[in-house]
Amino acid sequence: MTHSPFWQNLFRPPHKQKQHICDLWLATPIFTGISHRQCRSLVAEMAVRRYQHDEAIFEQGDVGIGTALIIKGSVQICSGNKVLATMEEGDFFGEVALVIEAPRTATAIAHGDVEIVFFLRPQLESLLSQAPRQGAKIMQNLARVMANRLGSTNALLEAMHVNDQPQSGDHHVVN
Amino acid sequence: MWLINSMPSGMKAFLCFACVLLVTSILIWLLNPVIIPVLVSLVLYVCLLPLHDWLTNLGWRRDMSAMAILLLMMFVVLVPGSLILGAFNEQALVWQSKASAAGQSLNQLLEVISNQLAQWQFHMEVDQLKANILSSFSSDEGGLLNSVSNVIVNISSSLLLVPFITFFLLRDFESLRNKLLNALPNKHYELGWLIYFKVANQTQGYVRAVLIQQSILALVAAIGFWISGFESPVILGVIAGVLGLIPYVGPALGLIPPFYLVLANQPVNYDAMYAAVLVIGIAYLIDNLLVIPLIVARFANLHPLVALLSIIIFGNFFGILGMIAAIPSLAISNIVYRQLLLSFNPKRFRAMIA
Repeated sequence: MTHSPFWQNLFRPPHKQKQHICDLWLATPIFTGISHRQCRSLVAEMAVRRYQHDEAIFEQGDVGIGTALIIKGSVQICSGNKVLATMEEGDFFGEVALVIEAPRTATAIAHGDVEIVFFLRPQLESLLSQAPRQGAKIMQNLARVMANRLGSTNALLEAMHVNDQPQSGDHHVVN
Repeated sequence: MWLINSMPSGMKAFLCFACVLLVTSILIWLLNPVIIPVLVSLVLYVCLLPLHDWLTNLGWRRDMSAMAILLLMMFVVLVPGSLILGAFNEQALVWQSKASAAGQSLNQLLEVISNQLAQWQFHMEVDQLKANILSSFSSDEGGLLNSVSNVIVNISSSLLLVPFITFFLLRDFESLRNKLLNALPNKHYELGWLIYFKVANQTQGYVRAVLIQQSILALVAAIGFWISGFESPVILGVIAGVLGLIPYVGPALGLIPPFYLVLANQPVNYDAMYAAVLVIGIAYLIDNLLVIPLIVARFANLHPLVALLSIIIFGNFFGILGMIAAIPSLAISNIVYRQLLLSFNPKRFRAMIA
């Protein structure tokens, strides 16, 4: 029972990994250009969530309110029975929920024991009102990350389209 | 667990909502002895939070910022607040001493109205009505003025607690909130944050908007009473502002103190009653046409009948405080229930977003 994630989340010892989490966030493209001090104050409000093997971090269609950063273990992103990607320590996912209130588009499942921290939309909105420059920087970074992912998806779709119909060349995915 | 999993999503949402309601009711019941200072402190916390955030953003430590705001509050809010409440209490005692004169004037007024109605072939139970109204003005334990005076004394004594509760709210509320929300099971962690975020946003916006609205209402009413030559126009204006917190019945309640004053002063100047109706009418006209659409309308999107019934029911159980809290409580419950319903039914959520 003491190994249950519920009790571990409730009675976890004060962790000494704030600096490690801060370093991991600063290494992500979302936190590029954010000061170390600002990052530390954001991390101070984040809680480490622990998940057991095969436990869902979130499921497709769930409400999302933040992006998750893996600080230990690996996470599989699935759609139906298909594994779309495997994320490792230092990777982040679910960043769309930071910007809009939309259902999760895929399911994230813990692969082995996993530790995660969430950067939540209320935190970002509070940062935007209290430190607008830093908040705007994160928004700009988020826009870059999503534009890059959209670009990769477009390229992937285009490649699939070309493979399906090699003779056509005028069709593009509209962003 | 199997039973819960096999339930339809609407039933799950309802069960979850019932649990939230139960926990909230238990909390309110536990806090009952200190409910007024806690509510006043929460309102102050919401008002002072932007200043606190600004100071912490300048690099002040949270406890230093909370302490500075506490000291500021002691000198700028609490001392004048105590003086104003003291003046209120004195005025309430003066008005109470005029209760018998007001009763006699009311008696005469009701006789005149009754005779007038009899000429038009309408008959009313004047004696019963007189007995009811006079008993509410009498100086015994249940008297209206006595209860107003008691409320003022209670608020004054609980004001001592307000600065301390507000200080700890400013210093520790966020960490306490984080701890409580972090204790949620993994499955409901994000949902918990989402509901908290929506409720907090709406409530903070509502409290600030209503405070601005009532201040404008009180100011307009006070100026109106001053122009009309009423004694204690500021107190009458503030009472109208505070009673304006009670939707629908607020304007009618706001007329009671000026009517009482008119009846208590001999000889009775009945024209002043029309003036009071005009002042309250103009104040509420400005309130309804300008202030509410610009400031408050964003918040409670409730059907008027539901709102009216909730005010009556809450008022019946919790008195004036219940009437004031009825609309925000219902609006918050509405947000929580809708969010739970969406969360337990992803298809509906996707359809709503699309």
